[in-house]
Amino acid sequence: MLMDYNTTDIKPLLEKFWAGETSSHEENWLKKFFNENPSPKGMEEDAMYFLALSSSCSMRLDSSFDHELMSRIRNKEQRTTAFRWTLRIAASVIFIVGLVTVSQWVFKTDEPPVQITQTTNTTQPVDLEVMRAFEQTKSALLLISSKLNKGQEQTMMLSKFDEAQVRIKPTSEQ
Amino acid sequence: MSNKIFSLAILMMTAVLAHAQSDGITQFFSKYETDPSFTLVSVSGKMFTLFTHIEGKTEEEKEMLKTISKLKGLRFLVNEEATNSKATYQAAVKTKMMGFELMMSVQDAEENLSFFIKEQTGVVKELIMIGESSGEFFIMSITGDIDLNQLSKLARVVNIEGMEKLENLKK
Repeated sequence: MLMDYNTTDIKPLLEKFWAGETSSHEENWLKKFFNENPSPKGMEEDAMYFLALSSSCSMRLDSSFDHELMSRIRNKEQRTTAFRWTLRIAASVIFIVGLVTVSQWVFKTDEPPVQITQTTNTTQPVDLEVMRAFEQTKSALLLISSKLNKGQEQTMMLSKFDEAQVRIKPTSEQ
Repeated sequence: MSNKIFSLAILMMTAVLAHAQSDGITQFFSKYETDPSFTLVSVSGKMFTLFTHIEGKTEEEKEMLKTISKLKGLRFLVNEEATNSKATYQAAVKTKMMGFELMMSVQDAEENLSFFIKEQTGVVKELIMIGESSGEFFIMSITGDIDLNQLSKLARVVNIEGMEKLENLKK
């Protein structure tokens, strides 16, 4: 290829190169020329450029690059896998705790066992205990009942107001 | 797969937390049941089933048994010598009670009363009454199928004013 051009052609070719008008064939010729003539007179700077260009083109990734890249990917995968496992274990723990709590909640009895704080004689017959609990329940329900009635008396006026509204409506519609 | 388990776990934890919140009033009971100045009466569902063997002789007892037959539990906490009954009442009324609605509140010179109910498909399943009157504080919870009309009828049958019945609870 070098034979295609004379060394006297080098300067016009360089000017053409810097003007960005050279073909790839001509650029290859220039690279080859400066490789063979590392420091031609008056063209030292051009030679430096083409030599640097040639050396950068000759740079290649060695086998250690692939090895390092793959090991980094594997490390990342291992870390991701470890994180997923931690997440799975955490989720399982929450799931089991939740399941136990919910099952206790679902299957527990509505109320705590009979608990009457007043002292009771355990030797008494069961019927007497039941009657005592009944009396207490009765008293409690009567209390709540009387208080409910008290509240209802207070709201009696409101119900009267509602009744009045119902009566007024048909009259106003007419 | 792990995402699904995680979502399910979160859902379950939410349910557990919601349940924990609904037990605010239970926590209130727990707080005071060990206090010696409070008297606690707690009647379980089992005891309510035993009540069905009682034969009502008077009109009062028959009405009472009719009401009781649908109840499942009762808890009553009373302090007759509360140093600051109004503050205890306010604290109880402000307790978080998930699922409960304020049904009625009465405030007058004599006493403060609040009724909270929890309904399910139109049926009152729990009724909580919180009250305070001249140095007395009380809180009562009844569970089961509660007929409010039947409940209010009880006092009319017996014709009582109410507070004197607290004496019976002490015996």
